[in-house]
Amino acid sequence: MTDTISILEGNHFVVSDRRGDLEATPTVNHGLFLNDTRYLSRWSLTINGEKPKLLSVDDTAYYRVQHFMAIATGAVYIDSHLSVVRQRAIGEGFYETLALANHGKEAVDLDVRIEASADFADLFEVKNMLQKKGTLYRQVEDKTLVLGYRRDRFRRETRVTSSVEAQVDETGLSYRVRLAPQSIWSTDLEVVAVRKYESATPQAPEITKDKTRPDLSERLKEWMGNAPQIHSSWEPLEQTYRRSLVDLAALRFRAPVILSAMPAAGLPWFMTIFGRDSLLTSFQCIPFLPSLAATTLRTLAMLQARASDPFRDSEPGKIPHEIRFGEMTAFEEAPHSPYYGSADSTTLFLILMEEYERWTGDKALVRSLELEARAAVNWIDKYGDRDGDGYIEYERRNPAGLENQCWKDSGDSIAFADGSLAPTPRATCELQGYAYDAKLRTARLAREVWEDPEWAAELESEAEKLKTRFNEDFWLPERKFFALGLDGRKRKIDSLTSNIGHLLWSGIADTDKARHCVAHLMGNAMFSGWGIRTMAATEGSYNPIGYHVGAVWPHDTAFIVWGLRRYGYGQEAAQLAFAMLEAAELFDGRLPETFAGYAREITKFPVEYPTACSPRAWASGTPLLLIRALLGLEADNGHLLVDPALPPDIERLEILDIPGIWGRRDAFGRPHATAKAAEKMAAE
Amino acid sequence: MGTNTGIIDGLPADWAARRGPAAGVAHLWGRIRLGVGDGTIGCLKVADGTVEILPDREAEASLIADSPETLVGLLGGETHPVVARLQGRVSTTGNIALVIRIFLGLQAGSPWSGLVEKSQP
Repeated sequence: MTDTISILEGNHFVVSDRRGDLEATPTVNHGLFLNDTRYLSRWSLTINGEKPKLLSVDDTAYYRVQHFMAIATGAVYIDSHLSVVRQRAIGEGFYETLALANHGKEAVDLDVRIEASADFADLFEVKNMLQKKGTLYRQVEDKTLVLGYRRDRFRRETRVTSSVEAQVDETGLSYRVRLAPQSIWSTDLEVVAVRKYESATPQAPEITKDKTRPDLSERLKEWMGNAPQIHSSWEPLEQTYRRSLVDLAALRFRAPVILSAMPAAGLPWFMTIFGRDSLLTSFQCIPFLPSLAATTLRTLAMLQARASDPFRDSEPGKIPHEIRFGEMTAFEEAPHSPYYGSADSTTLFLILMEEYERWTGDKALVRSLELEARAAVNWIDKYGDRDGDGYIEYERRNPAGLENQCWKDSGDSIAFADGSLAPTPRATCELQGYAYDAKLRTARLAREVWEDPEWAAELESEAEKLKTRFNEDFWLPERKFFALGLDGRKRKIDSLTSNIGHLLWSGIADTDKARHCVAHLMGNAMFSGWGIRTMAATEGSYNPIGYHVGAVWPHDTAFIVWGLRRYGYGQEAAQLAFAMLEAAELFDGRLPETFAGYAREITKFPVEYPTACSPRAWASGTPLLLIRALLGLEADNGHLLVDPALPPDIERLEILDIPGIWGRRDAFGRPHATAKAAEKMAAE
Repeated sequence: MGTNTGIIDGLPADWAARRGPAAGVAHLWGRIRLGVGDGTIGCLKVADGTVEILPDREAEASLIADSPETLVGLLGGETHPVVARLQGRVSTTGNIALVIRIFLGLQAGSPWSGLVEKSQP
């Protein structure tokens, strides 16, 4: 059971303890956050000087929570006549109803106190424990508690008001309450986060009876209603699917320079737009929620770099890595306005564009993005390939930027088999796979949408040459898998990692070499029994709780599953997909960002990774891609293709109302007789 | 609101009359109404790699800066458009995508480049 409770809606979120208190410390990341700024760091309720005892928490809706508590009188048993209920809902800040009920026969006098303060920390300051440079202030204005922060023109305020008159001072609100027998006292508290320069007078949204922003429950209903329905003989799949949809709804992000709602990366550290994350999540969701891809493409196209800027690691045509909205970004103490330090977002942008058009037939959007697509291809050839060897490699230009600009972006992730780190620039293998796939897909769009067959032929020729060279230059004949990458001295980085699975997804691996890679992926060193380890247990850097050197990332496994389907390994794909879906069941339907790489034979449940983000968008999208892989869903020339490869435990799987160029269609799958027979033989 | 293209301390008198190529806005077309405080400067016209300021007011979007220096910094690519917005030095209305694309494009250089000091650390 987690010791924090989070409610969120896009870029607003509140992290509290289970009583609903916010008690931020350097190691406890509680707070009300909006646009990468903590607007409230302390919000602590006491009654007669005591914190109420927690009974239960209802957090079944992502945007609303109820904390049920009591004033305890016993040391062991809670024998109380006084109950306390806090209802909180996210808004432009949050709304909270505090209700006290006297179930006894005597009147009681209560001192109710809420302590409030705000440190206005930038999320980077929270993560790195940095000091503020501006001035904090607090004041009482006409019964409103105002907590504020000022640095030049940058002003942020938190304004706290109460529906029942309170004694408001600069540190909080107090109430003297006489509660008659069998009576209830309540007050509505409104905590509004104000970006001062944008709106001098905050416009509080209408509050409905349940104190929720009126549109959230309706929006969620609409979101769920638009998604296909799933029916399966294996019930946990339905629950996992539903949980994924709800989490993806919760992670829809809106901000001043974002064109519409698009997936934020994850709670709590990544509640913003990451190019790679938004692109991969949108890809996972295409057969279910294609609108996410459209917004992702439009927004990232808008932010595509047009100039070279070492501070932001940008070059013309590059698609952003991460955008932030806090104080450090505003004052250019952090380069995230946006920061362009990823070497794969640009190729993934092209891949998503083609996938989106093939499923939806939305040629208008793709026509409008021709300029950006050409700039992206130009980036691959001119800037992504830094030294002219025909491969994308990365090396940061901002010393404070990311050292690793592939998806495994922690400092120790790109290592040789003996555990030594590879010097930069680094050309990891999946980057080349994405480049190959991006060029082939862009060629189709060039031919069919932009009507430029010459460019299409050029791109196809370049892709084929890349594939040929790659299969020679990256293959490790003695170990029979592809190197993790080439290092700065063009040496093969010889460790066995999950990156080889992405080569199946992209299609760059020769068929005979793919066969060996599949054997490695399904072997004990890579397959933990729940998913594919980021690094094989045989390698020098392997650590089952190493973020990118042994832990299992659900989205990584999902793309590997999809790659297995691409190369015709349906049975292996089904086995791997089902293992990950079983893990999802044990996480109550919500796959975390990552979990430990311990072998399934030593643990009956996947072991949590201590600081994993949850929900994390591409983990929430994982079950959707796995379902797609199980049914073999593909869009081709305006038709929905279905080619099921189900594990024996799923005897029936159907998806109703799959959206696409065809309108809405259903898909149905059951295990093939051959798969059942193979399972039976294996059991015998 | 009136049109104000007058002389500003520290800036060449002809700054609003400058026009010419800007490589970062190649293949882009659009018009953005420009203002400083309550006054309108004119309209930035972008046409496939060339830029100029016209006295018109008709535009797909508008950008209002807190000072002439901020505006010229944006036009010259010295001030980053997202940073200026986060600091509260500009506000925008209308086609936000066009505004962002054009001002990110001007980061690659324009006829106004070098008139104010670059804001980047």
